[in-house]
Amino acid sequence: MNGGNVGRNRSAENHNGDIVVGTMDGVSGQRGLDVRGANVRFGSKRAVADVDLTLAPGGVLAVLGPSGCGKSTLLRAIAGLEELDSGTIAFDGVDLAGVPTHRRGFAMMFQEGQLFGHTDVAGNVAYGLSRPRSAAAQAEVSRLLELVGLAGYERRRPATLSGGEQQRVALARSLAATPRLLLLDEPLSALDRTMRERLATDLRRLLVETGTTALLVTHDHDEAFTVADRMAVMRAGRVVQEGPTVQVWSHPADVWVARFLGVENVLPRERAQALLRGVDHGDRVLDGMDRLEGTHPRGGIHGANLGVRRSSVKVTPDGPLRGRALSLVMGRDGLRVDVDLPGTGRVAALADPTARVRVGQEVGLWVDPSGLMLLPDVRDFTAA
Amino acid sequence: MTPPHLVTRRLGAAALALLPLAFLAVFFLLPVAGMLVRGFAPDGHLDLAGAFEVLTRRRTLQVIAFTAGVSLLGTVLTVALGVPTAYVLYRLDVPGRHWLRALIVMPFAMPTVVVGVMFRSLLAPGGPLGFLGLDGTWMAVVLALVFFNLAVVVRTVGTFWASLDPRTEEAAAALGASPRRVFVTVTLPALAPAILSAGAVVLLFCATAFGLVLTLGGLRYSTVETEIYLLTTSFLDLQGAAVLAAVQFVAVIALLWVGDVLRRRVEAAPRSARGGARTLKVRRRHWAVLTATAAVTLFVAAPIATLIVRSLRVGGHWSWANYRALGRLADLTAVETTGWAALNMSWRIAVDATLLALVLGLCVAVLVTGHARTATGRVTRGVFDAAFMLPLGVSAVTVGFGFLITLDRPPLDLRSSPILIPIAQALVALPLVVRVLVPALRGIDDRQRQAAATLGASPWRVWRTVDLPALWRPLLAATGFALAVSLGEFGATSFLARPDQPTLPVVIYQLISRPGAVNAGAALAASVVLAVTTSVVMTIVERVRVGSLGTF
Repeated sequence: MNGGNVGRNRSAENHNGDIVVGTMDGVSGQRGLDVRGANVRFGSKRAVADVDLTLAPGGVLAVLGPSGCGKSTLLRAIAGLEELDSGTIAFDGVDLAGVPTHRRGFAMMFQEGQLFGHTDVAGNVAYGLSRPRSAAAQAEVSRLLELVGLAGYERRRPATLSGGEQQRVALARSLAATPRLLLLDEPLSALDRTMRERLATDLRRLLVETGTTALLVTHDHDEAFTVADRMAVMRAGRVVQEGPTVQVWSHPADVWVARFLGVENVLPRERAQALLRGVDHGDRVLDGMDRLEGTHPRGGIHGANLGVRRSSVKVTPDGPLRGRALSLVMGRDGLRVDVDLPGTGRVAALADPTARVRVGQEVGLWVDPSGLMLLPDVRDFTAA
Repeated sequence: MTPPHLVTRRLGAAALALLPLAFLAVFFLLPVAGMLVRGFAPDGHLDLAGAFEVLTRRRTLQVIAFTAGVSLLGTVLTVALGVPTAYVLYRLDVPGRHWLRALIVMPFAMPTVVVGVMFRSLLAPGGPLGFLGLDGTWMAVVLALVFFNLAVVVRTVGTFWASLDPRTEEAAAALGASPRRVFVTVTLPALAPAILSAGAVVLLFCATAFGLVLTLGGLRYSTVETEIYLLTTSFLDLQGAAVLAAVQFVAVIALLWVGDVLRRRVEAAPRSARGGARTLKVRRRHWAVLTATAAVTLFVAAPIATLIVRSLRVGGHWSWANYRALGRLADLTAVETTGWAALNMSWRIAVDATLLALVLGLCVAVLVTGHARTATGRVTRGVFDAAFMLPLGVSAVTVGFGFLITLDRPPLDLRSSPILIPIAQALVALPLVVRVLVPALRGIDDRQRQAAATLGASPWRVWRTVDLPALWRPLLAATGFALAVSLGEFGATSFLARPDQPTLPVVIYQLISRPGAVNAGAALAASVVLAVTTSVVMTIVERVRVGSLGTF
């Protein structure tokens, strides 16, 4: 048992039946995954730059970033499919340098499943079991297929399955190998939205039920929030923020992270002022911005910005702020209204789908004070 | 610092490379070098003046000009006829197109000596097309080259055409382009790499055709390849032969390089994930391509039919006499064996050669397609890949003769050893085997192997469970190709076969080089037997359906 994560319960003998005893030797005393100072270069490009990450047993960590940020390379390095130029990757305190992929005990699930087309579903799921043809293995296959919601699919060919079903088989196949760490490389990205959302929820449930330690790489923040309990945001090879998902959600580290996580309103101080006048205790927030300004931990001048999600800016007839509606778009979450607020400019807001708003009309705005976030400018890493 | 598992992997790769490299060095580089040394330095020191004198001989220039002319003309005709045929057989919903495809492919698997015999029987004064007076002319050689190579163009262009994403053409049509404009501005540019790549391969085959030219051109029309043969066997002019071999080597390497660049473009071209367009219904406006295809079909079927019919006609009657004569060749003719013994010999040699070519080809293909981690690794693989294409560039005659003059003393005194013929034939088949296996291995998504490895599979288990299942069909296809190539191989074998144990192609050549109705009749029958044997092998290969088989 390890208290490293909230509400998790994972037996220590979950992988390959080896019972892990508390004493650790090797490069660190860290249980689970420990990445330190990892660097991968492709020619002159640093795909992974000085990355430090830890993942305690039973935890699910999402590495989130735009395409090309190096997150997949990091995952492949952890799997042993890519060599580190410097730094270490250790698991349960044992340095993995020189340990080939197949001896690491990290199963990997790919974007398109990569099921073996020459054998059936059962053959795929049993691939990582020690004696694939035994009756015990077949029973285990059936149990796992039931777990992923595909009971009775044993004799089906991978090519006859839908994308979502293929990913479920791929997940069952990975779980069958009882990996010490499950690596998920954009596992849901190739699926359509409905399927993706359903599978994300199922994936979360299965990882919790089986107590699997997992590292998920994705560019989709909804997917990361659904599946993971911790999150590391990557930009240009570096981890720019790491922490519990709730914390990353509510307190992005800087302007870039906020925008990447879908915060539509990012306002510099001079624009934020007018908006804050209509918010309870807005002047205190403004004081906070003043304090943040110029107190960059690495020194140098930088600006403070106010971030607020569209969902925290509501269009209501009696809102304390008054502006003019610029555009209307119907979205899944409601009517998306962009409002021109005097002194602030364009603000992204949300109205009730049934609200009768017209372009050019004056509307009232109410800002949820708990949705406000203070955001420093993007830190200049090249200066570090 | 290199981690231990990578050291193991590199040692494994080195061990895998050793076998084919040693084979290539001993049985290819050594004989070819030996032949070149004899030619360029007959007295132990380099004689470039002599070499230059050979080059400026009138006959040499004639031979080179004739080779270039005939090859270019043959290639242009093959492409001109092959492209419309490819369209009809791969894009139109023509009834029986699968049978027609099999028919068009047939000549390619036929031994070149047999193709020569076919055209002679078709164009000879007594033959169905005798009135054209083409027998013994250079046009007969060109026609036979077209007949032989049509399969390359039709298959390469046809399979590529069938896999083109139809949505690009649909987009052009939706923007208002007429069918003609769609073809000229969208389809043709997309097809260009495939057409050029096939053209380069055809040009290569035309320029190195041996058995076919020897049987049709005789002494009057000689290409570089047959001239090398004549110079070595009839005039013992090793210097002349070596100079011509060097010229041919340079030209063919240049061609191979061009072909390789084009082939990469074909492989890199975007294909439709949905497997290309559906075939189109035949319409009246297709009359031109349909006529062309009908003509091509007739052109391919006529020599085959003529050969079969004439082998069964003796003295104006239907008869099995020609086939019966195969069993009594030694009594009736100057050949020292029976046709059936020669067939048996051919088959046994072909099996050995095929096994050898498959083992070596598999080693080469696995190494060439492996994941190179460093720039040096990639260059090494590139050089390795190219090295095993070299046998395509050197005439089989050079290899055969090189064997005779270099492997004749200790420690390698193999001249009288029966193993020499399978080795020479394996060398000829090896590039084909590699070309069939490499695309299949490249076609495996590397993430499949990675997925297997993360599930705990060792490198050997990954190979067994991911690579091998994708490889067995191409392996079967390569087996068929190697068998067909070995069964029909004539250039090298003609040097190495012992007079009392010739292969069937050698027997056929011996029969047609001698006058007399019995000889001619037996040659026809032996050609049918050999053609049927290779066709059966190739039909089995077609049955396992291996897609486009690289570019061949």
